[in-house]
Amino acid sequence: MATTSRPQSSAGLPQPALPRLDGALQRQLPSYFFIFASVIVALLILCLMFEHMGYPAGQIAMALLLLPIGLYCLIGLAAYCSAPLDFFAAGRSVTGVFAALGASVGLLGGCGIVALSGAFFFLGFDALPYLIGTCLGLLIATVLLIPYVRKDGAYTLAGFLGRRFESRMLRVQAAIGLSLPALLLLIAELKLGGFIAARTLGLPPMAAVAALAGAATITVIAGGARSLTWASVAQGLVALFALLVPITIVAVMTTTLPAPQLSYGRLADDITVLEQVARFANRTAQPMMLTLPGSTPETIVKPFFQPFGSMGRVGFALLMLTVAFGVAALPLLAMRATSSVSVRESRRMSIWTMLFCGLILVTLPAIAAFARFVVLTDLPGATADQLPAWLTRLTALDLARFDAQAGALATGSVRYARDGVLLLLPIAGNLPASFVTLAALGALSAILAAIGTQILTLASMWSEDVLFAWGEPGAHPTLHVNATRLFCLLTAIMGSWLAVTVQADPLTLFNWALAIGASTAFPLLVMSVWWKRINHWGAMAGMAAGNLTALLHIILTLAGTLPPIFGLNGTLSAALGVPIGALVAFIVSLATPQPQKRVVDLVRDIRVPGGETVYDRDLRLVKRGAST
Amino acid sequence: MQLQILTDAPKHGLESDGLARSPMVRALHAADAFGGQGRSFRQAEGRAMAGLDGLKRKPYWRETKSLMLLSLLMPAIGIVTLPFWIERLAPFTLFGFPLGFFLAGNGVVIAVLLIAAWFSAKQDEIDRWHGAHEDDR
Repeated sequence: MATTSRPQSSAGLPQPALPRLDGALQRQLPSYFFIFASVIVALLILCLMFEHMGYPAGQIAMALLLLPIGLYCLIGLAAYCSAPLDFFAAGRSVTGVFAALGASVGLLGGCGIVALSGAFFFLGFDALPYLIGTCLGLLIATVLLIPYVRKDGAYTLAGFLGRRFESRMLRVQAAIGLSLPALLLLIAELKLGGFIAARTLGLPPMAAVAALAGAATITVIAGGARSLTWASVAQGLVALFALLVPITIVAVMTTTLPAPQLSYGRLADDITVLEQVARFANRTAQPMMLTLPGSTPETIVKPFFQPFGSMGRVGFALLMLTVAFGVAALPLLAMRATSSVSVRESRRMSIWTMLFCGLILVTLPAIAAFARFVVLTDLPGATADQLPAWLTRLTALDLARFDAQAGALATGSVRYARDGVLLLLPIAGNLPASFVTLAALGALSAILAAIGTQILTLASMWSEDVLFAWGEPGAHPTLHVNATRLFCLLTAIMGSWLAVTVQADPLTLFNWALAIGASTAFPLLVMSVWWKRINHWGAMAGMAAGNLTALLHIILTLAGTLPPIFGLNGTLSAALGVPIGALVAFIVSLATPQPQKRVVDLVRDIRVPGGETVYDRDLRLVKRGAST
Repeated sequence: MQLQILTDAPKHGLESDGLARSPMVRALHAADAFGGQGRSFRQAEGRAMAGLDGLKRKPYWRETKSLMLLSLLMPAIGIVTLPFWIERLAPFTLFGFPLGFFLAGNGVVIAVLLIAAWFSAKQDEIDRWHGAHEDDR
């Protein structure tokens, strides 16, 4: 039964322009991506063959890395479009499992795959808050936010807030407040990309960062969200393939079982025994403690399966919540939601996204466990003259360092780079060099997807919500799109400049981005859908309070002027920012007049899936008004 | 039938012009007789509130809210308190894993996925029951 009584042609009113669904394209997509996947597999096999025949390794690595990246750029360019609805919301035509795969890889990115696998390698159990937090965050977003953001249909998260509260000031404020976390994420991704590309392609880090930013810009600049959606599907396929293949091979070689996500339990006893041999002491952490591995190479000290060794229980819980709220408030989720074909589909797609994120995240501890197993097995007994082959390869790539003075190598004398663990696994498993390149390709694909996502998020927020905040909806469509393209370029240039100049650890930047994003937007977003009484005064005050609390907490703990409040690490500033933001929004809303009826009606409209997407109706009305 | 739509829709159009960005758009909204949700949803809602269906039916939003609470509270409580009970499971093993590690590492993902799938199916059901779903395209 149709729920929308649309204008009847007999009543002399024009039919609303329904968002276009590229039906034929949608049906063909699986076969296109199947072809793409076959190309990648064929490329890998070719590279393996050439490697076996003794071709120079550098050229093979170059081919295996550059061809897929070139294909991403081509897909991005082929999805060229110039209508704002296509550019900002992919024509509201996205559906299906493939797009969710792209979304999940763009969401996790290098931080969630490369840095996190390293965190698992060093921390074992204590890196689980990221896994749990991401899943919980996606569940929260699916239930609380995504369908409603989709029904409103604003192109950006800041635009959603501005429309929801009918306040342009809030829109600008949200755009500025949310661009800091997005910028931090962009810098973190570029840094990680520089790290991986510098080690596999032999480029200087600066050139690697610039090349990655350039490739990501080419991918998104032609078709905005449309390009991003389809290019990141390809990137997601490669990232998933490259993540799963080396670990599965190593798992089969070690335990004779596939499905490493379930089979590394078999190694639990061995790893524990090896750790006892290496004299790893069980560590105890204060309840609020939180120690994460940094970007400088470190030795392994914590037993893998021991819980709460480097992280206290309270710190563990708070980190889970920070990640959950931060993920739920990510502007990129809003962008993905608005580009899906319907409210129902947006809900289903975010569940698919959850599935792929879960699959990737569950694989990471498996990678870490197998890497640790190989490392712990081979090291004792080796001497500095007789290094295991993999250690030589690792040190050549500057992914591990050891003290050469000591005669015999002990587990404690080798330090590993956190962000190199994805490459460490195929190297330590003695797989052919092409598998190492494949792992790097997967990491770079995820990083490119994330860079593209962040560039587009930032550019569309700056053009739509800051530059054109005072414009009428639907006015000057070409100008809006071209301004966003210009902002994409500027963002890429600024991001790569910052990534080269700023000295910071990507994982810390990732944490800060989540904490600031959660404090700025999460309470507000939830209240904007689920509490009709909130008005724009409350929203602005709550956002400012949350944002400032998180920022101040991070800056003051960094500068060391503030004794940590309750021992809170700067990483956990959302533990202060989210409640304070929510409280301020609540109190200020109640202290100021009720929202206007118009605004409350909008909330009622957003809450019901049926009917025309609210933003599209706006545009339709403006168009009709202009033509009469 | 046509007449009926015309008579009750304008009022609704006036009510839900909440998105007006400017006086101009606001005026356009007021003039748009057919914007907003469909009539069937409003009618169903009215019937539900008046208890005319002879069924004990909650209004749409109240039902959505209870589903939201159901699907978020349980996992949220279980997950937030996880660090405080997970160690008690250390003596047990599953697939070789210490049970606590397996639950926190793999079990949570599976549980969250199941809950999300259940939520989505349930929400679709609520939407359809109240006539609040979208057109099938």
